[in-house]
Amino acid sequence: MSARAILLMIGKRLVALVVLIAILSFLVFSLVHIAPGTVVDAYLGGKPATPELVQALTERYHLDEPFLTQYWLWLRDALVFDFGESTLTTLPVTDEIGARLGPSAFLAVYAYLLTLILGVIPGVVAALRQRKTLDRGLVAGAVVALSTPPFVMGILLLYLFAVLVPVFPAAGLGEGFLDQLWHLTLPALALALCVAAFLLRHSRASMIKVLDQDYIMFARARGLSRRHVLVRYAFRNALIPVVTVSGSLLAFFFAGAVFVETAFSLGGIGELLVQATETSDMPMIQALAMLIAVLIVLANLLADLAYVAIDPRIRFEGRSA
Amino acid sequence: MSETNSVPRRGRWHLALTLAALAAVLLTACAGTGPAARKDPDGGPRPADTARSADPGKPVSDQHIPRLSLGIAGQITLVNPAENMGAGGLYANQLGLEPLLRIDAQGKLQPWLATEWKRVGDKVYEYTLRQGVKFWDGTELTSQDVKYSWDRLRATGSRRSAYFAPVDTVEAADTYTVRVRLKQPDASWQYTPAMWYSVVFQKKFAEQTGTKFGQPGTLLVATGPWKFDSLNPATGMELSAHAGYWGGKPRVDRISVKSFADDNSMALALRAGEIDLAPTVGGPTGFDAAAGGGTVTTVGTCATSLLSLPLQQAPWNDVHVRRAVAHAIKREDIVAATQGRAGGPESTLMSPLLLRTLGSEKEVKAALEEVETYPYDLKAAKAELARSSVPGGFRFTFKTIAASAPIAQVIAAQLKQIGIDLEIKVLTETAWYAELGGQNKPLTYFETGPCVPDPSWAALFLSTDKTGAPVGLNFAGYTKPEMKKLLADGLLEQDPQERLAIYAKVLEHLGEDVPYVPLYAEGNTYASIDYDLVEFGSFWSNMPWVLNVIPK
Repeated sequence: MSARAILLMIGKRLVALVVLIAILSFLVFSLVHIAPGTVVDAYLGGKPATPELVQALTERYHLDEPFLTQYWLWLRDALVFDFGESTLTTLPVTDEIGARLGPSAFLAVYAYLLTLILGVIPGVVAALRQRKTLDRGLVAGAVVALSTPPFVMGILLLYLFAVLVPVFPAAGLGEGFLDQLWHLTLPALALALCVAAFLLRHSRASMIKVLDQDYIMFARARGLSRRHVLVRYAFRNALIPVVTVSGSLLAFFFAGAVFVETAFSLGGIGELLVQATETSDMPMIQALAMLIAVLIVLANLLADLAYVAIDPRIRFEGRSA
Repeated sequence: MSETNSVPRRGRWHLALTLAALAAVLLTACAGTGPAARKDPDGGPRPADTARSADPGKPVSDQHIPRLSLGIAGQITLVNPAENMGAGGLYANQLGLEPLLRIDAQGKLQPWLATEWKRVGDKVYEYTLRQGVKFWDGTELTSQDVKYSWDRLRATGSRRSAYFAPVDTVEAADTYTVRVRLKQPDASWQYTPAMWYSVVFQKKFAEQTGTKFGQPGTLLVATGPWKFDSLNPATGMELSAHAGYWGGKPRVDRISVKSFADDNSMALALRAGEIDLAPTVGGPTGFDAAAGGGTVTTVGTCATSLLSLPLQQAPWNDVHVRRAVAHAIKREDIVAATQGRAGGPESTLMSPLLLRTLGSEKEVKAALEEVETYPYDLKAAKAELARSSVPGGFRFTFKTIAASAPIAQVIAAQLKQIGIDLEIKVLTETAWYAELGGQNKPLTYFETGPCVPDPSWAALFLSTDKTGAPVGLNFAGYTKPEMKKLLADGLLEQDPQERLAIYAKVLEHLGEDVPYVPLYAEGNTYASIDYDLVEFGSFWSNMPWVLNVIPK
């Protein structure tokens, strides 16, 4: 694949991203609009209010305007990156997201790295020790981890390592890189273990399949060292389906960590999304939906670029044609 | 429902409650199994039940605490008292923002920023400010600041405007005198200057910061014993002692307020020593199990949780059905289902604690003699239902939010015994609020939240508009014409004895018509291993409450 082809692929993805965001914003806006209750119901929360306050809120959030006008008013501002203010807290949406973006990104990347380390390496080891005790032990461990929801794992880890043997903090985000690393180790582990177990099984199966291929046998027959065969031929090929899966993991960890965020009181993006959805906080929901869509598209783009790096068949596809 | 710890605030975390319930099961095996509420080792009154003995502005304990870490459920997003904020934000706000007066455990007014207050006319109240009160920047508090704060809090669009609805004007009569003119006589106003929604902040800073006032990067300037140093909506807040505080420099140097998504993670943080005190706990039993036992203290308040019966729908428009339901409710079982949150069973919409501000215990008891209550009596319940339009029972939908579902299940099981078959439908909070505000009110249950000392507070749940239609928080849709006049008279009348008679009459009507079935006195719960909170009653959070912290 030539550099031009890669740039073309990136360009196409970015155009698709814009179209996706346009469609998504309208769909999300429509769904929140037809859901029972309005932002005024959520904002007042069944608390004392004067009719003047209700009227002021209705006008402030344009609830007295037709649906399409409401959408247009939102879109007009969003086009100049003004996502408005949270209807629940009255803070600018970008400030609210900004306060949570850093910790969520840190947690997502940390959990992602742990997932790769705890998923791929044991998966490859299990494949190499197929049907041996180590393999069975790792597979059994993976089944347990896979069956344990992240928030249960979180509570267990909290009890074990923050209360019983207090080596990690029970809550908080920490300040500075090392302090954050320390604070987010348990949440990242809780988030990573379940997915790592899945990745372990996936890597194991992929590696076993590759090890059975003729080219591995031929490489061995050519007298190449075991290390060379495993790393250069087996591992790189086994990695391709793993990369497919891991591409979307980063986005999942970023926005889907709500249970772990709740268990560890991290106040991240996932928790913010749930809170916004529960309270029909339209500006917040819209901004988060956009953010998550961008992340998913970018994460998949990165996965595709990783393909190009890993798989020579893709890299040389354009040149041989 | 009034603010702070009402069900919806708790209910927002229904996701978290699921986790907490699971965690409680998980941790009970490994945690200590202490009692739900700590008993005083000497058998005497608990500190929480003890009245605050210190002078205004002074801490109850002289113990020096370099740093106090507080755990608060929910996030603190801003400190602007006129805007929306969760319960956690309100509790943190009260450490820096002060009202003019304080309400003691008996519901009596005490001096705070104001040294004197008097009603100088039917509709006019005057407040004399304490001299020498300094803001955090060293400037002195004057009546102009109070006027500005209250005008901002009562402005159209302010989240607190409903509380200032009786006010016509606020005047700065002189440097230290604030004069409030009401639109008409209103006996409930006397308590407003002592409540969390009438706190005072500096005019100059508020004007300078405009729309950014109270937001995380801007914060505000006030007079309280602790200054707001920083606020992160995701993690919490940092405060430090105000050296020029009018009550003397506080004995707690720094306060860290940490936000928690749920009780369970807060309980584990308490157990791990990462927080010292959690001033509010939603589910005391589960919290205590996770925190290791013996950590929680619950005090009953003047708020009453209610089963709301939709009077405008059949068969609830039949009073015999409503009375049957009232007799079929076994309050003790419902109290048990609250997981330690309830203060105890309650059988009147207005708590006797509220009425005690109008008369002695004996006088209140005498006034309530004619009020009909409905003790648990299945035989009487069945007899009432037999006299109704649906003697064989009926099916109906009970709408609730996830956090209240366990209570709804208990109510459904109890009513099943008399042939009323309830289908429980769990709604999102927003959808539930929309139903409550709609024309067809749902059959539901709710907690009313922190109360005001005046019995007129209960009028919130009985309000009607000029046409007699239910408005506001009148979720049952109760529109008896006599009630409107009684409630109006209750505010116009100033004599406590007369007012007691009026509110007793209100309760008589409610006892006769049963638009709501009172269930239990709501409780406030704090949790700590090392500290107690003195005077932790219904009104604990209306002042800088860390001044009431004492070591255990």
